[in-house]
Amino acid sequence: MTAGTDSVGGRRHAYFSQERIVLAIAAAMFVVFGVTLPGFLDPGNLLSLVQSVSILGILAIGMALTIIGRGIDLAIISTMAMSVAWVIFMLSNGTPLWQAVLLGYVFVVCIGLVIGFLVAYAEIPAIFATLAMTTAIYGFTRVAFVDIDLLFIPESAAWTRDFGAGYVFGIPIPVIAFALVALLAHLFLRYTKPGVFIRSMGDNPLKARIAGMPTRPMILLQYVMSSTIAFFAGLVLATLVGTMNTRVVNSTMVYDVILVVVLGGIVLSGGRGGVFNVIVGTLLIGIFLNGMTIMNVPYSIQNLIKGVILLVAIIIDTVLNPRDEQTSQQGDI
Amino acid sequence: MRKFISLLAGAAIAFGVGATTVKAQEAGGFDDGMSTKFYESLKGKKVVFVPISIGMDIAAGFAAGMQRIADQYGFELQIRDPNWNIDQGVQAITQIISEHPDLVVIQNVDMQAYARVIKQAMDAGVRVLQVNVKATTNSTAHVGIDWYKNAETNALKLVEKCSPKNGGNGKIAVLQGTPNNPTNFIGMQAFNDVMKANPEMTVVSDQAADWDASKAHSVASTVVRQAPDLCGYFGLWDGQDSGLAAAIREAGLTGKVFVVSQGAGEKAACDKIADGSYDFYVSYNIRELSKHINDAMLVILQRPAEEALEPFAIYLTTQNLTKDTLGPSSCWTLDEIKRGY
Repeated sequence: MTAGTDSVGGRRHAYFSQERIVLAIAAAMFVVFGVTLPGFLDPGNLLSLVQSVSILGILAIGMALTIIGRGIDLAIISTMAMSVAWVIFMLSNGTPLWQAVLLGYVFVVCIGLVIGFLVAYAEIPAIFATLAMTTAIYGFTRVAFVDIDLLFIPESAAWTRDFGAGYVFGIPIPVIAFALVALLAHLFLRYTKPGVFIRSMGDNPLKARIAGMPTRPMILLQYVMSSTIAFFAGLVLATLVGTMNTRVVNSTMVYDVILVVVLGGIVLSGGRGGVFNVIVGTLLIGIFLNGMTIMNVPYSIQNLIKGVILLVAIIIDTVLNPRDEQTSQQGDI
Repeated sequence: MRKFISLLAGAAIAFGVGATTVKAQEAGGFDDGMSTKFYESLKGKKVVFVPISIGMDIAAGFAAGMQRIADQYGFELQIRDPNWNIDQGVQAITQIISEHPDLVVIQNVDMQAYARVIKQAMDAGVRVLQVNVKATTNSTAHVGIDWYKNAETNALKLVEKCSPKNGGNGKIAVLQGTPNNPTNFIGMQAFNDVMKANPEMTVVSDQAADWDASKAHSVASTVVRQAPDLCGYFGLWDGQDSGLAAAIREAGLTGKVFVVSQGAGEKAACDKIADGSYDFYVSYNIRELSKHINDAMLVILQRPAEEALEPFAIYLTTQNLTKDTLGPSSCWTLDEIKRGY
């Protein structure tokens, strides 16, 4: 669904939705870089452009699913890093691959259920529940499973590198993984009952509940899905670079993920936006980072420009999508 | 009366026997004139270690090494883990000052963060051993790494490999971590000095990747596409450079782009040198650094508490590793350090 044109949560504006503005900015940037930067339009460079933001994009889809349902998953990076770190740790100790991945998956489902329970049944605002879970997941994994914070895929499992670093028909696997997750999430949101429920809940939770939707189980589902997507992103990431650095838990990566989601035009108060928004946001960041790298712009200036882009996007968002006084509540962002 | 005398004699004998046993125990079998004094000066002492994060491979290595000597010499080692949080680290050190241990070992996050509390500790008469990175304040001792020399070695290696004077094209790229980190900015100072002295070199890209392997991968894959004739890549930390190496491998340039990196020389680093990811690697071997730390601790703990100690330092000698110089003991694992090397 595109913001503004859908029946659920439709608002007055139709033409200048943020998604379209961002798409226009992305297109303009693409044209400018294409004309001015030698080698930018090279197919190899374009593939590496998409590849470099694929993992960010996959995470952003997980984040978007929770935000659309009027939640947020700040623990997404922690879930990704710690579950995959445990998988690699098990591999290093000789556990067979399928068993390690299966156990890792069971672990992330548990994480999703715990977060979902805190939000749905204990009724803790998602932003606080997931913020607390970030450190809880990190601490628990470190105490119970993994005693070191930088894990390398062992030689015995070096062949798994073909997964993240491989190509299918000349396309890097992370790009395919991103496309696959995007497609599945799109189908889920558009054509399945839970998908419709989550969008409705995001738009107006009380109304959704009165209408008979099982809102609490849906919240559980929402966080199990975001955790699952995080796990998948982590597996792609680890097999791409050969390591999992659990220090990303303390990094600003989660803000990059939120940046992509918000930039694409998904409203933080929930109910609006879809997968297409995430793709637009991801591409904008991809084009931006790639251009900046080719131009060799210093790190701090890149950060500055990124911050300004986010601010502009949020200002446009506030002007175009004013807060809905009827459904806003304490704990909303 | 007789009864009393015999009692007295018995007591005397018992005391005598007792005294002899005590003496035998004290001697520990043999005293070469120093050994008893050495053991006694360590027994029951209290040492507190404040790492950056105990999960960090380096800090875990230090802790394992310290724990081993603490167990053998019978002193107490406590670890207060601030887990990357500087505020918690400052708080922990402030708390430690009031406990007045015999020695506090601090692994600095950067040169500024703990400078003030280290001075406070020194003023309060608590002895401070800094490890790995030195704060701007001097303390009892510092055991660390010469970040300038490491980066300089790597930069000079790139000049040797890539300079037009030696038949290369002079094109190299740099991948920084976070610019304000001491390893990073001291290292970059060395790099820039070397480049200034060798103006025939061209730096085609100078980007930062937040010590994050996946960001390193994105940056490097763009850079090698832009400059397919790149001769060398300058890395500052192996944890990040694994992403850089992966991008070079993907582009089919392994062996063509000369990658220099540095790191703590954990087992995974040797694997990466062996598979050609890093062509030249400066290792600040933690097994060795951990030994130096233990030596400095033992020296400090043996000095009487009231003695004023002039600050001293130990800087690690580094190992330059390549595929050809790699040996079975070039790298370390945490288990090895725990077991005693």
